Amino acid sequence: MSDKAAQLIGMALAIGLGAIGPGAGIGIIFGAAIEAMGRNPEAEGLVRTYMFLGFALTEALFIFGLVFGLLIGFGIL
Amino acid sequence: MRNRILTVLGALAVLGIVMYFLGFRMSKDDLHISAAAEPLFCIGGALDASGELCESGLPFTNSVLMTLLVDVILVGIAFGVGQRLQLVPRGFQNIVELTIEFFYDFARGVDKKNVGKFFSLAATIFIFFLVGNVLALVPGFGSIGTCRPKVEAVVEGAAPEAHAAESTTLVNLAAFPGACDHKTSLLVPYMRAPAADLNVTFAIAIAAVFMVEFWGFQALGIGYLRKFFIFNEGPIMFFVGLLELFSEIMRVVAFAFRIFGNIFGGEVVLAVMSFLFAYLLPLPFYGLELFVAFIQAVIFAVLTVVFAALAVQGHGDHDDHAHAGNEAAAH
Amino acid sequence: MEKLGINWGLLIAQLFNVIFLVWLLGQFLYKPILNMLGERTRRVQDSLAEADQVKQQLANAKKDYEAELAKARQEAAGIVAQAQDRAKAQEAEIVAQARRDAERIRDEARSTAVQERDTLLSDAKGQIADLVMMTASRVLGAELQAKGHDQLISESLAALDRRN
Repeated sequence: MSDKAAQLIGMALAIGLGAIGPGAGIGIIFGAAIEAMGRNPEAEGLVRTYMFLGFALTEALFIFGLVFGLLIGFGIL
Repeated sequence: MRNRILTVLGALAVLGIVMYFLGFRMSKDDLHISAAAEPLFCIGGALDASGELCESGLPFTNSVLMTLLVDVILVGIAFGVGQRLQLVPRGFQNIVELTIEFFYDFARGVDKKNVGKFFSLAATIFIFFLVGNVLALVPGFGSIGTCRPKVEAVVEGAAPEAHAAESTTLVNLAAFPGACDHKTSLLVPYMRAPAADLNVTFAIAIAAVFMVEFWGFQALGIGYLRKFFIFNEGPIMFFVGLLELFSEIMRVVAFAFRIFGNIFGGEVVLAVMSFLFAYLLPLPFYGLELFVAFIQAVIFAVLTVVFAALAVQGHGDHDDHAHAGNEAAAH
Repeated sequence: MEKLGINWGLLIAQLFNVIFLVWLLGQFLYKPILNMLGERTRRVQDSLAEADQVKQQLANAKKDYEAELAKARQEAAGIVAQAQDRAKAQEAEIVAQARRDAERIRDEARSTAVQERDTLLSDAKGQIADLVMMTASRVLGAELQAKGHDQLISESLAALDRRN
C-alpha cells in the first residue's frame, strides 16, 4: 500500500467513522427537543437554547473527525 | 398540473440521456476539487508554477472576490433599504424586514435581556453567510472562471491516453468557444462561497468567540474566570472547569469547520453528482444544499447567541437557566 | 496549512471585513429596521387603543343621547301634565265662573221678579183699593151715605198696607 493510499483510507475512515456517533447523537438531541417542545410549548425558547448547545457539543466531535481527516488527507499530519 | 410536471421531467430525463451519450458530460479531469480558495492574482507578487498558490504577496482569492460581492450587496441593502424605510413596507423592504425580524425573534427566544447587545454581530453572521451561501448556489458561480495552463499535465504520462479515449465521443466539449480544456489547463472560478474558505470561517469564528469572551468578562468581571478555574468544589469539578476552558477554545475550530465542512462538502456533492450524471440528478441535492445553506447560517449565528447568553450568566446564579447551562456544557 | 488555504494575511483581512460589516450593518440596517418594527408595533397599538377609545366615545354618545331623549320625553310628559292640570284648573274656574254667573243672573232675575211683583202688587193694591172703594162705594153708597165710613176705609187700607 502506498503512502497516498494509506492517507486516503485514513481520511475516509476518520470522516466516516467520526460521523456515526454524532449522527445518532444529533438525531437524539433534536428528537428529544421536539418532543419536549410538543409536551411543553411554553418552554420552547429554553428548550431551543439547550438544543443548540447540545447540538454544538455533539457536532464538535464530528468536526474533530473532519479536521483530522482533512489534515491527514492533505498530508499535513 | 402534476401530469405536466411529470411530462417535463420525463422529457428532460430523455434529453439528458441523449446529451450524455452525445458527449455532453464531465470527465474525471473536469472534477477539480480544491479545499483551498484559488488565487485569481497575487497582490504585490506572482503566482507560482502550479498556478494554485501565490509565490509571494497577498493572494486575491476567488472567495475574497465573493466576499467583496456579498459586502457590496449588504452595504447596498443597508443604504438602499435601511436608510429609506417606509412605515408601510413595500417590495424588497418586506424581505429584508422578514429576514431580520425572523432572526431577531429567534435570538430573543434565546436571551430576551441581552439580545440588543448580541444582535448586531449574530445577525451580521447570519445574513453574511445566508447571502454568501445562497449566492454561491446560483449556476455560474463556481463554474465560470479563468483558464490557467496546467503544469503537471505535461509531466504526467497518463494524460494523452485519457485524451485519446475521450475523443471517441461525438462532441468535443473543449472545442466550444470559451470552454476550458481540462486536460491541459485548470479552471479557476471567479467566485467561491465565502463559507467554503477557511480564512473567512476562521475570521468570523475568531470574532464571534472573542466577542463571547469579551461579553463574559464585561458582565462578570474577573469572576468570569471562575467558570473555568473551580478550586472549591473538589477535583472533579476542577477538571470539568479545565475541560470547559478547552472546549471554549475549541469552539473557534468547531465554528470554523462546521460551516466550512457543510458548505464545502455540499459543493463537492453537487460536483460529484454533476460528474455522475449532470441531468436531473443534482436537482434534489440542490434543494438539500439550499436548505443547508440556510440552516448553517442560522446555526452559526444562533450558537453565537447561545454561547454569549451562557457567558453573561454568573456561575453563582442559582436560577436553573445558568445551572443547567453549566451542567450541559460539562458533559 | 497551505493545502487548506489558510493564509494569515487573508485571515486578518477577513477579520477586518467582519468588524466593518458588523459596525456598518448594525448602524445602518438593524438599528433603523428594529426602530421601524418597534414604531410599527407602537402605531398598531395606538390605533387599536384609538379605535377602542372611539368605540367608547360612541357608546358614551349613545348613552348621552338616550339620556337626553329620556329627559326630553320626561319633560314633555311634565309639560303635558302641567298643561292638563292647568286646563283642569281653568275648566274648574270656568265652571265656577259660569256657576257664579248663573247664580248672579238667577239672583238678579229673582230680585227683578220680586221687585216687579212688588211693583205689581203695589199697583194692584192701589187699583184694588180703588176698585174696592169704588165697588164698596157703589154698593154702600145709597145706604151708608158715607157716614162713619171714612174710618172703615182707612182701617181696611191700613190692613191692606200691613198685609203687603
